[in-house]
Amino acid sequence: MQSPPQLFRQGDTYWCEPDPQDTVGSEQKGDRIWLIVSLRSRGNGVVALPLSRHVEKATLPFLITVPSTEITTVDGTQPVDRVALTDQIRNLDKSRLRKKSGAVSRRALLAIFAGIDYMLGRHFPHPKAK
Amino acid sequence: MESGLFEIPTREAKYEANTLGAIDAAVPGETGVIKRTDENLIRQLTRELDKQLLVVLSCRTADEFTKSRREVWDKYFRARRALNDTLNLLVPKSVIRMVSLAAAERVSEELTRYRNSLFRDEVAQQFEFTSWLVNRIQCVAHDIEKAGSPSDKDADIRLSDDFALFTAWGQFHYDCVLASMQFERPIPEKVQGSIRDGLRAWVNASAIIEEALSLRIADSQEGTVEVHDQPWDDEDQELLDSSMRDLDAESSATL
Repeated sequence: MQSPPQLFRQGDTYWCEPDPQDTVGSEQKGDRIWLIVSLRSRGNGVVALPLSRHVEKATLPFLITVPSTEITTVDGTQPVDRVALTDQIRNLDKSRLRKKSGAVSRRALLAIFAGIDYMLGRHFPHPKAK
Repeated sequence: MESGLFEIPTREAKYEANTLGAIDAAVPGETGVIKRTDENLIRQLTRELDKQLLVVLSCRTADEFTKSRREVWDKYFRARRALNDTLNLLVPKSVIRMVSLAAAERVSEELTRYRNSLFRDEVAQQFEFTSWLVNRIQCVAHDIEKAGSPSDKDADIRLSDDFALFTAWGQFHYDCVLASMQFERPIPEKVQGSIRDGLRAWVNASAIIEEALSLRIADSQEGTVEVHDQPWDDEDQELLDSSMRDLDAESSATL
């Protein structure tokens, strides 16, 4: 087992491992990776959202499709297209993020931020109205 | 040789998405700020655009749509660019903004009227998101204008090329939905997925223009997650544990 990483980078992706103490019902789906979206954190948490490979779920506009060309993997495996489930954003226990999966491009991260902003109902006044 | 020959202006990156709006509203009409001949030219370009869009809207399947889009793309692109350039040259920016805002209001009403009749709700939702993105893009473009020169001009030009490509592609599909509403032409069921995919180009455009902004201002939005040395109490830990328990419980479901 790898030791927990000390530093997280915004845009990196991790496998979220099951609680080592929990031997019941903790089998994780092997295809779910989490994208670090926060730039700041406190305590034991870091804010992330899941990148699902079930791209057919991108039926709502704020669920952002991330093409495989915008994803890199640390183990050299071929990335697959994914969808950023922006409405599943949550605080994750850093100690469960033991294995880095890779990263998404800056462009993909910015696209995901747009999805989050839209989901949250952020309003951008027209420049004229600024 | 005169040195003046070498004073050709260098290419500048451009980030414009300022003439988006209902196609028929592209003619300022009663504003009285442009000549009749110019107005006729704008109307002619608008008609040419409509013609191309109605061709693709008559397709029944996704394959037909793809083929037809390929065929009309060049003419559409030229007509769109000519319309944008003509408007930018002949109509004051303030008038374009006024017309765009009025068009946006009308389009929003039409969307309410036609969603679920001319196209599915998914298309309407993607269209609404697109309108939101365009507004966001215009805000960032405004910030870019104010921010000054980029730190890397070559990178900026590459971004501006990508931006132009994605906005043109996104605009085509946006115009398809506008034309559907304007002419009350239903978008065939099998074509709606292609339209939604095309509208997604605006998501790329939005990300690209933000990349361009970060070439102009110090980007504090990138890097290692800062861990703040703030108190982390029992409540915080309980909430985090609860979040992780939920996650474990959901693990059998497919995310």
